[in-house]
Amino acid sequence: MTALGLNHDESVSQQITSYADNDVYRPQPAPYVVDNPYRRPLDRARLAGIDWQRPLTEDRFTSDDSLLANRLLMNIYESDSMFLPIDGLRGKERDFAAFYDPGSRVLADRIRPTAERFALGFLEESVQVNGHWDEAGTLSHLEATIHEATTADFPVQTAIEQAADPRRAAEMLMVQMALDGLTEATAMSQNLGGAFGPEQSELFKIFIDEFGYGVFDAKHSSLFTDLCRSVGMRTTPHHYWFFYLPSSIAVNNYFYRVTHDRTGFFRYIGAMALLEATFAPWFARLTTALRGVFGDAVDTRYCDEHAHIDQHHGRMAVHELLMPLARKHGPVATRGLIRGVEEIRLLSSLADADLLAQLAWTPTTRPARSAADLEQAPGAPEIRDLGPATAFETRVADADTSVDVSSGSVQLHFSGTGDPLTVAAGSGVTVPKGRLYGLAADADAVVVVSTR
Amino acid sequence: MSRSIRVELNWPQENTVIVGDRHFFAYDRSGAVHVIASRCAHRGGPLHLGRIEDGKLRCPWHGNTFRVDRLCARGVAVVQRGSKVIAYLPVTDPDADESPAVVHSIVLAE
Ligand SMILES: [Fe+2]
Ligand SMILES: [Fe+2]
Repeated sequence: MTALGLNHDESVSQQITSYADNDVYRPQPAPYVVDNPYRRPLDRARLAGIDWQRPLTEDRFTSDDSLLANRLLMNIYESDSMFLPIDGLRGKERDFAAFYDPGSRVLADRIRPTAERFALGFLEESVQVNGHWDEAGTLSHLEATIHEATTADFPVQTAIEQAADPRRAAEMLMVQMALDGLTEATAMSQNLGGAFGPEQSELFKIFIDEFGYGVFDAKHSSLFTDLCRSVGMRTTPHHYWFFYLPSSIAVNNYFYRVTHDRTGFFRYIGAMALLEATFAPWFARLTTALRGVFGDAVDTRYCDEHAHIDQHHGRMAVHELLMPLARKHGPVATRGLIRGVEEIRLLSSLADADLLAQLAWTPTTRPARSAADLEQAPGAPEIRDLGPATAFETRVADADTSVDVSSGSVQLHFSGTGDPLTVAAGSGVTVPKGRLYGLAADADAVVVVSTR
Repeated sequence: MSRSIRVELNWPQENTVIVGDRHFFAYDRSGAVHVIASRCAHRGGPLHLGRIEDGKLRCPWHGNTFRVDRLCARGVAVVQRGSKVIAYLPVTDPDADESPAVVHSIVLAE
């Protein structure tokens, strides 16, 4: 690498730190972000520790670096879209100005390519689309892939039903779904402009369904809000900011990435078409699971609507949008379409695995590790002071991790809803590799965090 | 509209597809697997038994050479994730029984 290249890299890292320095991205002690769409805490110190020149690989996809980079990217993308507080802007004018600050937007544009390459660049390696794709091959692949997805098991829904705490598990899934659900079709809206023939109008038809034909109560994001409200969950965007898994944010970011960059258009259509074509049975199965968990109280119209409308969206997206684009725009476009199909298939399976592992984890307390045991730990144990003013943060354990409380009492958060686990002095808890967790304390406490 | 023939290869254990009298071989070009029809455009020679030198594949029958990048670009449609390779072979005769066989066989073009 040239000296020039190195300097450039350093400055990108510095620019990322300055971007995160924005008032609305400052840490906060509360584990939830209440009624403020602009507050999206970023941990500057951990961001500064990332080696941006070493992009994530598929096997590091569920990692702390992935969590941080994907949060950063989400803020970059979403500051391109309009958010206003549900109860009005009064009192949040400064946050509004800070979130959409032009200087911050310029920084966002500069750091975006680096963050995208870091967080999602592995897709180029992991997915290969080769050879000459004609119409027959394209349709065959779509049909086989859709068939496979719509006849597969639904492991997430099953895991919810079989979870130790099914309610907590269902709500954790809904927390992940909120990433898209509360802003549904925002990425899609990015390709409504321009001029690209009849396919533009086909995309618009899907879009107006997503937007409930202009009727607020029928808008998919409104239906999602009703679903959350019916089970007592909060409905403002990013209330559960700290509890998004890295893979969930990555899937959401993927759609912004391939729409923000217009050369990603064909990948976007491929990925969107596959999801639209496979959503119907997935959502039908989710209705069954949610009914089982919440009984009659849950408002499943969001799921029911998708179980119906996406049968049409799937057909429209494949036969009126994807195939006509493939015919008209040739092999390079077709390879992009197929690449999108494959990329979302890979991302979805990685995200499923991440969520399944989080749902399967029910932390329990055990006696704290002894000093002798700690001495055997591979890395130096980290001693952390916690108190009511400490910034709350969640992280992904990059190795099996031991959290041992030496004084006071701490809460271990491991899902977006439900009570955290209380760990008292003399006790500890093990966080398996890849799991998301956060620590909080109402009064002064000391914990020792070590790898196992 | 006719569909293509879908085959799944577990690369590199499986490197060859045989459909009727057609023969296809898999070729790894810096990590990207291509599935190429093994039939020389000259006299139908077995391209998979040719050697590759300087980016060119030489047909073992009459020595005609073909640029590998062009052969790859003309390869059949492939998606690949790790060792799992899915290929779509064109249908030549819609009435014929074209059930494909996926096997391991000698491939010298590598
Ligand atoms: Fe929708
Ligand atoms: Fe839809």
